[in-house]
Amino acid sequence: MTHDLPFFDCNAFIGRAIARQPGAPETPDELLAEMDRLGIEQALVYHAWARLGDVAEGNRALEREIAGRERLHACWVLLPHQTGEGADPVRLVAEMRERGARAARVFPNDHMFPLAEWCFGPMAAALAESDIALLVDFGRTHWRDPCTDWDAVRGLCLAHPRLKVILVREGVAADRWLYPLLGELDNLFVELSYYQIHAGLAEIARRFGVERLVFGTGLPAFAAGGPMAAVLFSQLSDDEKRTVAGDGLKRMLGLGPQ
Amino acid sequence: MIVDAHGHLGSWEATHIPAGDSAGLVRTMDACGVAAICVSAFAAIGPAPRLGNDLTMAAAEAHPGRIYGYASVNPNFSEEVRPELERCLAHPAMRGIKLHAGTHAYPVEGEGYRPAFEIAHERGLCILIHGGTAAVLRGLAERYPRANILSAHVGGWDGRSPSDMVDACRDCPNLYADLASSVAPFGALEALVERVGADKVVFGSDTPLLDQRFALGRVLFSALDEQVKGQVLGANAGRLLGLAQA
Repeated sequence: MTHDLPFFDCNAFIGRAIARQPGAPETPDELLAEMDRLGIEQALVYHAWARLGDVAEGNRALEREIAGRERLHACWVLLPHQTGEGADPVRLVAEMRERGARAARVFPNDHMFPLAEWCFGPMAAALAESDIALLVDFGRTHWRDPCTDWDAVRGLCLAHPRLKVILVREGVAADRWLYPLLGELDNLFVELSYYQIHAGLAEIARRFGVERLVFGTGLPAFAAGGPMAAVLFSQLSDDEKRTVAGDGLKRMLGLGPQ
Repeated sequence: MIVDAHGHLGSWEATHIPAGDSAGLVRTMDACGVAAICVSAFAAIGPAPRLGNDLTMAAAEAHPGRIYGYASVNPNFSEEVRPELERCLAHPAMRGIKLHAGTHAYPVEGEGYRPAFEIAHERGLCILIHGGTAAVLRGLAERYPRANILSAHVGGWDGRSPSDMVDACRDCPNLYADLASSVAPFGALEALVERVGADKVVFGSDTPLLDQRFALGRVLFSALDEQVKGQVLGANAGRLLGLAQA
């Protein structure tokens, strides 16, 4: 299946998952090979160890393992700072910048912390100040098992209007939560890997603007073909498809024309 | 020819569905290059089978050759089951039967559904079933060998864990695996085809509850070879639903 869209996956990881899917890539080069097969140009990646084990060590492993691979961009996993598991937010975000990290990601459910101001607020403020986007992943695995803290997402976006928040792996049967928030919050974005609403991309684009949609796959836990086809076969214009596929993310990460 | 063997029609109480009417479905199919779809209206798998079946037949008449239908029944009103199926299946676009044991809160093997299996067996029809354990579907497949049972949502299998349902689809010649699933684990489609056979995996999307594009892309961008993709995307469903292949 060939195409000419500049896909840039905002939702991928490297490293060993709890269980390896059949034929799934694990190393950066294996991931790049799969991206080549699919026609995905670039990816924003975190390290599985930063989610499943030690955040700081996982972020360091990410830096080491993707070094020299220009199509892979580092996404650091973050925790709230108060326990001392991470540096002071301002220093940590400065370090992210120095070491080439393009975005940050949090797993509030896996890592058991709230996004509330009294906990994650200082980190969110530091990210906003440095214009680093934050991917929020509640670890949703099926639409019948809702686990997203929508009030927390709303509170985060309201408290930090300059922080770009990308909600990851959400969407099936979620419009009744999502639409009010997209209408209220200009800094909320939707990653596509689970946004499987019928004709939903065109509807979001029409109501809230196409730039609110960010391509992502969940590779290598999930197959990438679904979200790719969602963009390719959407009822969006060619320019809009390019925005969703990758141009919008490039702008958000400071990698393309502003 | 791409054929979607698992579709719906209309609105559903649990979630917002844009463009879920027949015109919206056909617009999506045109964008995706899907030739035909077989649907059951949400009303038909919910509390109003007769209303829903009428909606399905009206959609098929509005889009001949593009939309086909499954007749659905509510086993909790068992006296209505056989007459409603016979009424609907007299329509040439109604190509099978859809049972949704979940919404009807009723066991697939229960007496209320028995006429559906008998008719499917008598006529060699496809019967798409949401619900039932692997053991139950095995038993039904053996008891009604001329019915072609399409087990809904087997496509959600992770591709690596033991699965009685996958094994049942492999073992029973008239039990098939529907791909429709919101979850598409990496490599699972390829593993499913390897496990049950390319002639037993059937493209279904659950659209418009889900977007047809996702299920289609899962196959198109898979590592399956092109011939197998053709079987999964169209030939198998065409055979089960009695649709001519281009």
